[in-house]
Parts: sequence; structure tokens; C-alpha cells
Amino acid sequence: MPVTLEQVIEQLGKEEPDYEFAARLGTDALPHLLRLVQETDRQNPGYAAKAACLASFIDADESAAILRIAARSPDPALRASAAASLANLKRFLPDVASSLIKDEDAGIRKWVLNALSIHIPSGFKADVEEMSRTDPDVKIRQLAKQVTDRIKN
Amino acid sequence: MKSLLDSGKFVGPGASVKQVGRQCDMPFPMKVSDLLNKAECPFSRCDRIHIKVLTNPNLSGGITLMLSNMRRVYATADIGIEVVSREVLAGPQFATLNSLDVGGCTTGAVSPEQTQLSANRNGVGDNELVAYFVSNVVKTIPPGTQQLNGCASVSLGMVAVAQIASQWTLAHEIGHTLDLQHITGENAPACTTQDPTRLMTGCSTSNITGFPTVVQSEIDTMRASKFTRASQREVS
Repeated sequence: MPVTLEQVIEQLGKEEPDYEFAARLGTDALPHLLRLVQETDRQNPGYAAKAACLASFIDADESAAILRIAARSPDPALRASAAASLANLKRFLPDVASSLIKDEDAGIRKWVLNALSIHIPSGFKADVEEMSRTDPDVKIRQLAKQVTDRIKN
Repeated sequence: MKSLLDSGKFVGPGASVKQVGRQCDMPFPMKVSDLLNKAECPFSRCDRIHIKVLTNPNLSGGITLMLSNMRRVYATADIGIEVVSREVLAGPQFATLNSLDVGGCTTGAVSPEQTQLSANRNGVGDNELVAYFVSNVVKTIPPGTQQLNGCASVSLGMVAVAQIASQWTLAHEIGHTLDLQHITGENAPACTTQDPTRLMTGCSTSNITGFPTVVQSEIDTMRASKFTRASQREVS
């Protein structure tokens, strides 16, 4: 049976969604998640950030496209969700991380650093070292310092 | 002077100053300031809450609607909700806390960021609650980072409410600080048997229709919480 938007919203509407359980909806849920992220649902804007998160739990090829759209959103809460969700993917998205690591919102940069510390990808060491010295937020500088030693050149 | 609404004495659109004055045994003619200064009445118990805002919720009606809804539900437990203070928390020191890492958001455990945020307690007295409104509330204990509507910490006497919260999130999370648990028998996480009439549904609060209820055992728990203080009326 095809997954309906109502089934997706049923899971995302929870105060504390069980994303691991909701991910069992599978890839059929992804078109609905894409719609929720694109429309940032006017009636209940809460679904967009959760939709990006659930897409990362489903972790299919199409999930990356959803996170890329979320990462470009003018809504900082949705970009923060995209940044935090990077940690959930099996395959890292360096383009999304590269863009969000320069976000003006320190909370979003924090989640990118968190994802980097989990995925430990190559190619970010210089950026993170730079952050540890020059980021305007003292907490981000401290976090970047911790992450620097963990990631590869 | 505290506003009529923040006093917690007025619940619902029909409440009049005269009516509440009578319920509070006020002498007439009555000064509104005397009514506002009278402890906790017309409810036998009261929760005192401080509102601290880093980011306002997206919800149409915002914090005002969340508070109004909470007052109407808690009034059924004869508990008033007094807003003691309101504060905007802005500045670079709050930039990372605005996207709050709540760790596992489990009873008894608090994350370093919850602890840091709760240190901002201007004017918060003993056994008073703080509601922090933030951009994101993110659970970070495996299986992954997860976006939540909110998270409560009993030990810190605080709730964090995300920008994406529903109109019932504040009342629901404050319920957790008063030791309420999600209701049983909903077949969570599948939620095929959700009870959308209850505030403490563990399924979707967005599905709540009308005004949700708290049952007698929940009322007893809420009233026994250290955060729910007896009014002068009940003490005497």
C-alpha cells in the first residue's frame, strides 16, 4: 500500500517523534517529506524541520535532495534541522556541510561541527582549524578546536 | 502592575473581573490591584512560570495562545497559571543555545546545554518553573539527532519549547515537569489507538480536538508536584 501524507503527518505530529519507527514508512514517504520541506507547510510549519530529520533517518538517495533544499531555506530552524540531520546519514554530504558551516547562525554551525565529528570526512580540516581561531562565537571556537584533531586532512 | 492575564486569575473568554473578584472573596467596591495582589485565587493551587524567549514560536497566536490553552486545561485541575516574568534572551551568548541540544531528553538526565540555558534564571524563585522558547530542540542520544517540539526537565524546573511547537506543547511539557507521563494504552509508537482527548497523549498533540483533559490520577499528580504551590486559601 502506498504511504499517504496523513501517515507521514501522523508520525511527525508527535511531540517527540520516534524517527526510527517512522523511517519504516520507507522511501515511499520521501515525496511527502519533500513537499513538506518545500512548502514549509503553511498550516503547521512544524512539519518541515521534522520532515528533513525523518528524510535523514530513511537515508535514501532522495534524502540528500531533501536536505539540500532544507539547507537553502531562509528559515534558520529548517537549516538547523538540515545541519543536525547530516549526522544521521550513512553517506556524508560535503556540499551541504560546506555551505552550512559558513551559516551566519552559530547554532547551525554547531550542528555541522557535530556531524563532522561523527563522519570524520576528509577535506574539512583547514576550514575547522580556521573556525577554531576566528569564529565570532567562543563556544564554536572551542568546539571547532575539539573537532580539528578528529577530522582528516 | 502584572497584567490581568499574567495573574493567572482569568481563564477563558467569559471570565469577568467582577466574577473573579467574587470567587476570591473580595470586598466590593474592589480595586483591581487588590485582586491581582491576592495570592493565587480563585484556584486552590498555582504554578508560577517565567517566560524567557530566545525565538518566538511559529504558531499563529504564539505564546499567548499556548498560555491560554494551558490555563484552560489546568483550571480543570483547580490549578492557576501565573506568569511571574517575561524576558527576551538575546545576544551572542545565546546563539548556540537557541538550537538546543537536550541529550536524551529523559527523566533525570540533563544535557550540558540544558544546564547552561537554565542558568539564566533572573528573578526565578524556588519551585518556580521556566519556559524557554528556542529555535530548535534537538535530541542527540542515538539513534541520531532528532527534532522535537519540546523537552522538559524536572530537576532543572524548566521546559524548552521549539519554534515548531503545537498549541499544546507548552501545557504538555509543563505537565511533564509536574511528573505527568505519557498516557498508556496508545500503542505507541504506531499510535493506532491514540486518545486525542488527553493532554498527555504520547502521540500527536496536533491531533488534539477541542480542549484536552487530564484525568483524576493526573490531577492528583499535578497537585502533589513541588512546583504546584498551595494558595493562601488552601493553607488557611
